[in-house]
Amino acid sequence: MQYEDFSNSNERLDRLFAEYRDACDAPELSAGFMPALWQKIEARQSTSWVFKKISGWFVAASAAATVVLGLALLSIPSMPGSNGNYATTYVEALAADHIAEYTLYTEPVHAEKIADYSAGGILE
Amino acid sequence: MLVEFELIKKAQDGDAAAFNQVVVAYRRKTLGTIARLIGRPEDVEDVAQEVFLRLYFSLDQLRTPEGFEAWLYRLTVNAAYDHLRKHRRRAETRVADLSEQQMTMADAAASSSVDRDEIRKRQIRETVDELLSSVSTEDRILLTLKEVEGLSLKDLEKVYGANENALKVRLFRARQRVLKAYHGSEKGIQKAGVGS
Repeated sequence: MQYEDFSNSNERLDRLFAEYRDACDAPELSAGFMPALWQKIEARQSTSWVFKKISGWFVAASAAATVVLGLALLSIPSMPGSNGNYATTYVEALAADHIAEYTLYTEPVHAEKIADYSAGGILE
Repeated sequence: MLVEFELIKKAQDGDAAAFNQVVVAYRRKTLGTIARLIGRPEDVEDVAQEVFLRLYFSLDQLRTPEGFEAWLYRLTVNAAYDHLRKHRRRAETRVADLSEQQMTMADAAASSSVDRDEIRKRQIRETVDELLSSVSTEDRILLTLKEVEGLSLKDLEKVYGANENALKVRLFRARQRVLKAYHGSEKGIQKAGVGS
C-alpha cells in the first residue's frame, strides 16, 4: 500500500517536472540585452585594466628598489683585514668581549657566614 | 552545435564580432535553461548576462571548441547556483498553504483562458520551486538538469567533470528528498490541480 503511494507520487512528480518544463519557457529577450552585456564587459575590462596597471607599477617599483638596495650594499666599503662579511675572527671577538667587561673599580667580596645572622637572632 | 568551431576559435582570439555571433546563437537556449534552473522569469536576463560575461573572460581557458557547449552549461550552472544561493528564500510557507493561496488567487483572477493559463503556469513554477527548496542548491540544479532539462548522464559527466556512478547516487538521493517533500504536500498540490 505504502509502496503504491510512493510509486504514484513518483509518477506524479515526473508529470510535475514535465509541466514545469513547459511552464518555464524562455522569456522574450529585451532589446537592451546585447548593449547592456557589452557595457558590462567594457566596465569589467576597464576595472581589470586599472588593476593590471597598478600591479605593473608595484612590480616596477619593487624591482627598482631591489636594484638600488643591491647597489647600495655593493658600494659599502669592507673593513680592513676582513673577508668582507665578517670583521673579526672568533678569538678576536672573544678578546673584544673581554675588554668590554673590564671595570674600573673593583671591591673584594665579603662573604658572611649564615651562622652570624642566626647568632643575631634573625633566623631564630 | 549551434555555431561553427571556427567562430568559437575567432571569439577565443578576441574577435568581438565573432563573440557577438556566439551570444546571439546561444542566448535563447541559455535563457531557457536559466529560466528552468532558477524558476524566476524576472531574474533570467540578469543571470544570462552574467553567464555571457563570464564566458567572455574565460573563453581563452577553453582548450578545444568541441567542448564549448559543456563549458557554457557549466558557466550557466555556476551562475544559476550563485543566484539561487544569493536569493534563497526561507521556506516559511508550506506547499499546502501556498497552494490554497494560489487557489484563491486563481478563482479571483481567472477571467479569461489566457489568464488562467498564465496563472496555472505560475502555480506550477511556484510549486516546483517550493519543492526544490527542500534540497540543497547543488541537488536542485542537478535534479533540474536531469529531470527538466533532459540532460543524459553522459552530458552531466561533461558538465560536472564527475563520474557517472557518483552522479547517479546524488541524483537518487536528491530525488528521494524531493519525493518525500512531494508526498507530504500532495494534498495541497491535488487541491490546486497541479501535476494531475
